[in-house]
Amino acid sequence: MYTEATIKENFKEVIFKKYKNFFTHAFINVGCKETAKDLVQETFLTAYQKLSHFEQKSSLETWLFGILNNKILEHYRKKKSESQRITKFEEEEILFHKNGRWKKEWIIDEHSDSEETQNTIIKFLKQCFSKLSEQYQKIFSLKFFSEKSTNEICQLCNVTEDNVWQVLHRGKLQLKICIQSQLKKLK
Amino acid sequence: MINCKKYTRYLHKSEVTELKWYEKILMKYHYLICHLCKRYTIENEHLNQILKENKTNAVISDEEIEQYKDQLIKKIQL
Repeated sequence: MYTEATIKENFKEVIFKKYKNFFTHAFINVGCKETAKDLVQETFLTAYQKLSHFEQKSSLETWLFGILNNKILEHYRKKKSESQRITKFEEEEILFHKNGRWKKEWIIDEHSDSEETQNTIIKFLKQCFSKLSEQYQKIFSLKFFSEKSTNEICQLCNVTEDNVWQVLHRGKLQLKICIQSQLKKLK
Repeated sequence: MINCKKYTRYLHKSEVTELKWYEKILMKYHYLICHLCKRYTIENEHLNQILKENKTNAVISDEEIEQYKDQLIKKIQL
């Protein structure tokens, strides 16, 4: 059995060494940077206040992950997702002509496959992703980061299959507009 | 016949759900005749790959993680 002082020391060590693991776990489950940060923060604060309840049956890290999972579930219970049907795609008006053909200026040319351009795109993607709405970020991260099935996404976000593909469609077009606008500024 | 706008909708929809048989045919036909959509299909594939490979790195940097950590330590007053 550890003393209270040792547990506190371990607690500090977990924050220093494992914070990113906690953040990543929260992020792939809720899909929003700010929410993930808040949930991790709440987890550590709650745990610290209840450190005397830690029975040492498992490692401190496992105990903290348990608390984080409860916080994530609580978050989903509280949050009622927006599930309104999207009917107008503003992004399409920017990218396509009235006859539905691509506006050529939005198509990335073949020379942009270079490693340098790809790295720039990745850098811009980070900025552009954070500009998507919370709901969009959540659906994108469930799909691409935690690779959840469409059914699971529908259940977790309380949306229909149609909502999911529409969010994916609009989100991808928004990312395209945002990334390419940044690339244009560089030229 | 579908246009590029409809093609991109089908393309993104196909990543979430199985398209109907006629939607698949319309998509394939448009892909064959439209070089802009061929280009976009490659671009979309790249984006999917980047998103999957970069996971949280796509949205958060190590500096931000350090910042969050500091905020937490201060709050707990460790």
